[in-house]
Amino acid sequence: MNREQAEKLLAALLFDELDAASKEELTDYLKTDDELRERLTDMRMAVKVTSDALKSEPKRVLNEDRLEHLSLLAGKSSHRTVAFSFRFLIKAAAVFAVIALPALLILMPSLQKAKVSSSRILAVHDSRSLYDMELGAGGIPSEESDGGTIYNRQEQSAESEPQIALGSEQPQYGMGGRGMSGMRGGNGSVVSDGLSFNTLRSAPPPPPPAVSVAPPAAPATRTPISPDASVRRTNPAPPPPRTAGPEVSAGTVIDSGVQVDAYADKLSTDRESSQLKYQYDFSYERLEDTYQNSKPIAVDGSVSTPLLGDLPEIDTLFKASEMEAKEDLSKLKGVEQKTKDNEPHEIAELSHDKAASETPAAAKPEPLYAGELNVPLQRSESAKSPQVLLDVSWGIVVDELGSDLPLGSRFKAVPVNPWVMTERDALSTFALDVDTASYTLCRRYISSGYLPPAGAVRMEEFINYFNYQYPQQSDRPFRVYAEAAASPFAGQGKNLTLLKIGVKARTLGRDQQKPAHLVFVIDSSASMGQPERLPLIQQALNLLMDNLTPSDRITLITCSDQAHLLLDAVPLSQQERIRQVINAIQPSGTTNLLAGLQLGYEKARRAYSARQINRIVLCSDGVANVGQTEAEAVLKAVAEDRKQGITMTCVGVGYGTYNDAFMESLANQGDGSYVFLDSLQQAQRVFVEQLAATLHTVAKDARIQVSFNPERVRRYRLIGYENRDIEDARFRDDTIDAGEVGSGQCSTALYELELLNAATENPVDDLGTVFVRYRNVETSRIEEISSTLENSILRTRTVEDSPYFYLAAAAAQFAEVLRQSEHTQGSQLKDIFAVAAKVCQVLPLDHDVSELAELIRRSENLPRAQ
Amino acid sequence: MPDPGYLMGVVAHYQSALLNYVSKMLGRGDQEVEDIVQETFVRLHLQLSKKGRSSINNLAVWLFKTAQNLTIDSFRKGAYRVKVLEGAAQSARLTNEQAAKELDVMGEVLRQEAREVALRELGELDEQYRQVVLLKIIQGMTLREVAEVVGISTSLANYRLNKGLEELTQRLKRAGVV
Repeated sequence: MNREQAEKLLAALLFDELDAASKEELTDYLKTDDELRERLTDMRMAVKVTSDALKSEPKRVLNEDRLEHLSLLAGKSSHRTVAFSFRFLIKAAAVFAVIALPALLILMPSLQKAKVSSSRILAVHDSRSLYDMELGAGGIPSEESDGGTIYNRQEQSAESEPQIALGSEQPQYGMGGRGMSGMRGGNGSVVSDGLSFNTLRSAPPPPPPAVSVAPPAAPATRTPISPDASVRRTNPAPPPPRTAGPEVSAGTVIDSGVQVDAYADKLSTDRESSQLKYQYDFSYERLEDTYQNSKPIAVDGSVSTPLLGDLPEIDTLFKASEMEAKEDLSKLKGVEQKTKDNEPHEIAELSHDKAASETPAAAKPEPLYAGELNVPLQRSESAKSPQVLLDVSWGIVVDELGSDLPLGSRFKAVPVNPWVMTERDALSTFALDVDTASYTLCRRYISSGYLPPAGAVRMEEFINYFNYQYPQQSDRPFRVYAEAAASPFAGQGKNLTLLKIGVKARTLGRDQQKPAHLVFVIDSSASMGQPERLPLIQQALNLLMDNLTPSDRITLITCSDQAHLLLDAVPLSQQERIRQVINAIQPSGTTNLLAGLQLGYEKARRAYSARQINRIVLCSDGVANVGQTEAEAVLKAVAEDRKQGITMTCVGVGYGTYNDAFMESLANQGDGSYVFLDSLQQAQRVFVEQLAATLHTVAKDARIQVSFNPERVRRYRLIGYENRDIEDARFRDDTIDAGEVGSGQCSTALYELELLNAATENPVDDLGTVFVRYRNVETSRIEEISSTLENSILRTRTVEDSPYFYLAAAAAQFAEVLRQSEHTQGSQLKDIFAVAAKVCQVLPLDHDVSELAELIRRSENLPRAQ
Repeated sequence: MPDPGYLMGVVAHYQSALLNYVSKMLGRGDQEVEDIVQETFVRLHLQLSKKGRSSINNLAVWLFKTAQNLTIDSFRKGAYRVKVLEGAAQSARLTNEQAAKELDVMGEVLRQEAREVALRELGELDEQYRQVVLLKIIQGMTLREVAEVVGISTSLANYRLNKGLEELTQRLKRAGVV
């Protein structure tokens, strides 16, 4: 065989349409031709990706009118179809056909003929249901229960036993409904579904022999020697809980998926709302029972967890195939290559013949699945030797796509601040930080069943997420509030004190607000297509529109492969137009953030006015993959503009491939703030409630220096602010880049202290002094304030009299645990939960607090995301 | 009169694949696609009532061939041709929504992007190649069946399949997916 001939046969080899002889010949030839072999591998990959793409296409159906037309045409009365949903219509049609079988049997003159045709119909249904399952539902194929539905219904109409049918129908079609259905059904009901099917299957009125063969035969074509698949068949998993509509936050979806029945029973009553709002039963011990029962979500998505239904099918298959690969390897060792190749194929052929002799197409397995399910063989071989890829010719090769792609979000872990001896260094200096993104992002992780990667936890952002109700004030740019008490989480025998320092900026009145020119740079790449990304941003922007004044102006830029200018400084008076443009953004292509930012800065520069707020709002998942992708490069390109007071807010969305480090660094260096949107509530919070703050800056380059008194404090440790550290000596160097604080914003820092002579009664000396230095935006002057940490702030506190102190402590400690900091002092999540739960009781109206408690409770036993 | 259940069973089984196929061939997913698919089933009905079920040898081939011819007719009628991109983006969005309803496990997004690229590149493929690749992948037809649907010889079908796959691979390679 020469190359030309071989080239012609590649596709045929790929789809296994070669006779044995030429296959062998080609295989032999390929061993000698590296290039062609590589091409075959690429081609295989391309087919895999494409078939994956086509397979993940939504299942499409004709619209209702058309279907009705067709059914009318077919002479079928349509009175039922109108009343029911679409899917039901299709199912109903299928059921009808099955019911019609007996009639056919009687009417058809030739019994033989009838058998053949009925087997054909059943074959059609069966593969259709599989098709449904695999292509449409995207969850775990519950083939048996589907089959059960048909038979149940048949039974029902034949013998009028309504109770048989009802069980199976709801979970089946109710899938599209609320996430609740999955929980309600649970494992139990579905299994019983399968059982009823099994018992009924032998019973159904006159099933011709061919018919009873059909249902098992078709699955067999798909799952040749797949132990896992057979498990799935006999023990169908519950239908995946689903939530309809993008307006529900993705967090909720996952939320419901994560729940396990035992826990659900307790709490399900008020989980209607998409917030993490639960009835609290504040005794941790009582919750513990249910807790024990609730299965943590295994990272590997092991088959038994109900969550499995939530995992994308692809993953499951990959996982299954990995397991199979291992088994097969041991099983098939020493067996001749060729036999292995042919085996599944032969089985498939065999069952074809049985299932549908007349209509091969109807019962033919979808090649996509056949290909997928034959992965084990190919993988087991490739595990043997790197050469074997080409020995596998059956079906489409599936290799784990993305195994060599960078998966997961990228986070930058910074070492935790150490203890510092006051004698050596009494000064602690850092830039103020009012960001909260880390908390939101971690919340997203936890509600999906994973602990966040340690690098994603920035403790100061956990602390700053909460509202500690510092008094509103408008006379001075900053005010400092301090509290101290024995640390609630100090280990046994350790006498540590927790110091909480809150800095609150002045709240600007409405009349002091300047008009704004907002330049939105929106990442509209394909990765933004998920509901919690671009659509969430669109909703958030719509919310924002409601809250801007007509004199504000909007520039809108989207960036995918290139940057596109959609709106150029359009005043809010043309709100309708702006909304239309925002809502019309469609995700596609790659991400060229640099181009978007450059255009954004250029537009901001053109429309620049010192009398207005000039701000760039970058909305992205941080996955920049075209153009310069490093934050430094992006920022260097716009450095000049930044100096003139064009600030930037980074709005992060998405989860999974979200690049946290990139966004944080963009915001930090771009003189901006950084927020993360995980839900519409968060959008509301960021864009509406904190609008004034994020838009109207009170102080720039704000930094804080705490000077501890060595007479009183033996050593101290700052919790968080690791990447905000400033050299002590540069505190009064006004060229440094520090934090920006908006109207009414506050920043809270926690120190853990070890005091000297803690026991001394009425000590005279202060604990130290807090200095805050900043550039007053109004006057453009550098100002510095100081505040003494008097002894009076240190006293015995209880949750009842200082709930906010304990809240901050709990938030910080939770962050420490998540951060895997070495300073956790062995504290357990349940201890933190106990404190958070107490704070909840004192502050019942603050949902953020109850949410924190819930997050802590949930975090126990969760696996950590990578 | 053919058995009503039979036709609806066929509709239920094939509509999704046909809709997908026609929309990919036509390069968009709108009323016209549904028109064509509906008309395909209407013709099937006519065929069944006039000549009976035995007149159709291979149902899948018959359906795809009919849909194929109707698609060509609609091209000929001077219907404008829009680049597939639009349709692909549309369906990609739908897929996204569907996918995101499930748990967003890491890597899904990248896979998703690969899918989108694949759909886009598939849409860019020359029509005669796209056709065979689609029939092969969507419906899993044998080369002979593909040849029958398209109305060409088996060897030509093989040639086109090879060419098409090769071009698709090249495109995907360039897009960095393969």
